[in-house]
Amino acid sequence: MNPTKRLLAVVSKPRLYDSSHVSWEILESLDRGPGGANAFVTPIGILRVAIKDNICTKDFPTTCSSSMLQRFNPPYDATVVSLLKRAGASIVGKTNCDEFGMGSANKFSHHGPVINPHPFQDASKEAWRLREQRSAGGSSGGSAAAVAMDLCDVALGTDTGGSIRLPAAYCGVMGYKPSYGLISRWGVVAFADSLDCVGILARDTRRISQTLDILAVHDPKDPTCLTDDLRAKLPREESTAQPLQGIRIGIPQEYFPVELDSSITSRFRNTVRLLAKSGAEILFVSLPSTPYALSAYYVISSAEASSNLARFDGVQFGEYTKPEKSFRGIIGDLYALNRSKHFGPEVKRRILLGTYALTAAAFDNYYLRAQQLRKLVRDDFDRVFTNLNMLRENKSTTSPVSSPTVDFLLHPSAIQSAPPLHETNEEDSLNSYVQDILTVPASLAGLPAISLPVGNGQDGWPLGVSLVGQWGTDRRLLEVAGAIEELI
Amino acid sequence: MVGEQSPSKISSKWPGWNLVIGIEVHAQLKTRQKLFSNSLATEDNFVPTNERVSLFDAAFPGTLPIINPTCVSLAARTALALRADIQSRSSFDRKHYFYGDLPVGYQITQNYAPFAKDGYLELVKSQKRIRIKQIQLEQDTAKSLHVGDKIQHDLNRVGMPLLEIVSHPDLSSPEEAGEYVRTLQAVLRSVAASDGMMEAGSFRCDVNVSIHRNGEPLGTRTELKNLNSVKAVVLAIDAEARRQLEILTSTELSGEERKIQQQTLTFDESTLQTRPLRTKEGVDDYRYMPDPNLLLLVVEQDTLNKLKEDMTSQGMAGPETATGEIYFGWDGIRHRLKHILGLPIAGRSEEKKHSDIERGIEVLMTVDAGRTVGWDGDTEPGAVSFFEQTVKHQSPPEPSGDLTKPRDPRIVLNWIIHDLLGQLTKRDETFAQNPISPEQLAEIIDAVEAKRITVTAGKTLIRHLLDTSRKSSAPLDPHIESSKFPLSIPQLIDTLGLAKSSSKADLDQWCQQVIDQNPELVDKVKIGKTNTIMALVGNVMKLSKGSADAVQAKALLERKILDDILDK
Repeated sequence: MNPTKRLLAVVSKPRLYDSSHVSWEILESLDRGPGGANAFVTPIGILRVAIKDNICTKDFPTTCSSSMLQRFNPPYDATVVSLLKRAGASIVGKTNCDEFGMGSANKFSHHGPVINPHPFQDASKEAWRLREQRSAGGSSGGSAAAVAMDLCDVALGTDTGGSIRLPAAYCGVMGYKPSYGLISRWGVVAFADSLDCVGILARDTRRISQTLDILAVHDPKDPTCLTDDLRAKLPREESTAQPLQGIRIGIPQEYFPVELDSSITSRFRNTVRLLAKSGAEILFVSLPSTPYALSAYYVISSAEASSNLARFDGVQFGEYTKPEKSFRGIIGDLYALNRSKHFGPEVKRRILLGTYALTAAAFDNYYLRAQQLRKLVRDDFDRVFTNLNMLRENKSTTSPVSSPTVDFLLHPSAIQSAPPLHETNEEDSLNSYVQDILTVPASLAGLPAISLPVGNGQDGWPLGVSLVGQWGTDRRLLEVAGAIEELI
Repeated sequence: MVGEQSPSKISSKWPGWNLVIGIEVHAQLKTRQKLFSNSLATEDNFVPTNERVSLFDAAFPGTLPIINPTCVSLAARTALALRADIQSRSSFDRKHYFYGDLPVGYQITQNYAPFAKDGYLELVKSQKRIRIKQIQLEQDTAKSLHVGDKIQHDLNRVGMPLLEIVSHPDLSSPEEAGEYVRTLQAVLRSVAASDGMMEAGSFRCDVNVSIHRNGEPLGTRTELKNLNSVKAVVLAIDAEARRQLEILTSTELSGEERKIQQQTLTFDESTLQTRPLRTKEGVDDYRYMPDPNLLLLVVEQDTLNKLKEDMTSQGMAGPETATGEIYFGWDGIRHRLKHILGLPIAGRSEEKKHSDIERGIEVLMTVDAGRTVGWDGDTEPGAVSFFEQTVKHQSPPEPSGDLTKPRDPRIVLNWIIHDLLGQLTKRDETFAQNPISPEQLAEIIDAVEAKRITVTAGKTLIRHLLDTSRKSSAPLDPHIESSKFPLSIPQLIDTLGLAKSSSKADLDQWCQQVIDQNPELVDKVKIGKTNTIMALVGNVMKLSKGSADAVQAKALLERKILDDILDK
């Protein structure tokens, strides 16, 4: 296979799937302007949607970017795909991602890494192959890149601990993760069920809202999908002329770790200044349990992953490797053979971590502790938000000293702009984990969050800020995000 | 059946030793759909393999579990019948292991927060209460089929709902264990939760056995698996207890060899010996994890109340006891029958005359337990319902215009146990094949009680109905069948000439005919063999087809013979 081809891996049309990915040539043609690549042209007025490759589609293989599922053709569409089709959208293809959604640089992919397409359609730039290659972020890197390149109007991604918001920030697009339960997960290949959310990436909030209208419906096939009763009680848009007037925005002080790049801080300050000018009230708040979030997240998500990925044993699901003639193992050894060969390094790392966390000896110290920490993180959010958490029976967590509460939280989406692809290597996985530090608390608490592009940093690469709301306030969140979008 | 074949108790055989037995039962709930998917359940072994499999059952990526509320209802019924505390909130966990019978790599069960806790099962014969530790819902695994040297898996069974019922180790003999298993089967059937068929695999027992000397701590326990009949349970426990005793009292073995290894064993019915199934090298680590997809299983008080009402309307509840409690299922039915029959509800009656009735109740309930369990908790009318309907049936007014008196339930019970069931047994038929409706039996009993016909005539009617409407094969709904009878009971009595003759002329004629036709018998009476008169009475009864009054016939015969002697 042409090595350059393997690098890009953004979107594939059904018939192009086997050759797998967008070639440099197609990219160059796309770069020349709209309509450059007929492969992705659909009639005007039809929503063009790209689907992350861990979401099942009848018309395309669903590989999860894993060698394990390289030939998996689901006989069904995920609920989100059916809903989009029914609404008349055109599914233009599947997007590359980190294997089973595990990763934050979109490097852990059977199809090769995703290259960040920024700056797209900039005539002054040199040819693609000569440019600096930076990460598109992960795990929904292909979805973010496809949106940035205008290969689609909207891309679906999944967000377990930041997998939509981070690539959106790196690629300079909008990335929205809904409240847990708002959008059906049926047909989404599970990484960690209690955290996984299907979300939307687009170039503007209008498209996101439009897509959310299609997707935010109850699905009787998903036990965690919100019922219609609860949906009816969710807060709606306020549709005021100045949505930012009088709104209380909290800046969580724990979200500025030492690793945070200085050019991010200045961009962030700039955004806050604009918000204040538009009548928003800016407050500093504290979410003291934030430091625990990352470790809690990795224990819980890895434990669930170790369980969810157990089905891929190469016998019933996944690639089967015929053992050597000399093979004398038992059935378990056969599973081990298949799983060792067809899972990538990051997936293996997390399965092992998760398996250990669930062993009888470690369960209390790891899994149970992590669940307790998760609750602390939730409590933190419930304390700072003005809105009550509809999912919690009573607000017993209110501290006796009434500290000021806020409508939304605002913080940098990532600690840096997109890192060069060669820097994010496998050995550096601990650093990739730190990258998730700003996004996992909202995932643990199941809160809605959106990353908005706020211009480029000193290095010329996109930066993003994240707006986070109380559970269920998605419509208000998108409304406010839309107002911020206009400011910038 | 078990009683005769089972060996004597270990405690009496080997004084000073105690046997401790705990039983884990896996009962398949009889629901149309599986526990977390909408695939149809496999109703029998004739469904081709791997036909009843949904995407979820086959562990397709992206599929999610949706709990089947019927499974929850049936679990709740069982918990009520076992007087266990249904937890207002329980939850599901994943139990992980890699094997072909588990496509998804884990079984969804209830490890940390089971559905119900702390119940008990009353053993009537052993007069013992066995505590139930917990009741939990879980998925069944695929059925492993051995084809040649290969193992194949039939996913039809994957995801079928199982109820795991765990007893405390309160059983202390093979016979008690046998009674526990049989009673538990009856309990499950009484609430239509499971058909409890051991041979068919819808009721599986894992038995834990250990022995220890009086006053010493409990011994190491072994687990017996794959026991597919009550008889096997009883024999296996005895065999295992003896094996353990031999090891512990051996004079040849020493050290580790003289200890019981914790292991899983299987029972060979041909050699009557237990042998290891697999040695557990350390304890298996199933890496239990709360299932992140399934929310808490909440059972509200309202739901429970509705369930109880539903059980009451289906005849699965007893009357309120003196302490204001209502029992459900097997015990509830027993309470209700005792109540109807005028016995004290709780405990055994001390009165001797009650023991016959109690025996009758047990017979009726045993027959009732043999009825077919319907899908999704539906019941078909069985012997108990037949009895109650017969008691309750409102007969049409008597020919005289008087309303019929309420039927005595004890008399009804007698007719059912001794006559109806007796006749069916003679014909080698089950109760389900009984074509007589409760209304018909009620009217027969009324006719006898009102002395319109004799007891003999009543029995003749039952035989007649069984003869003329007997179906050779399939169980029939007695209600449908009864409509096929063109004749009502009064009409039948007329047609068959069974009406007890009140006419002196008839009786006179029959007696005279019998005397005329049996000169030898009459002569015997004349020479003082007075017992022979009964043979003549029998002939009169035969001639009258049972409609004659035997007492009157005897008197008339005696007078006629005396007259004859005096005449001469």
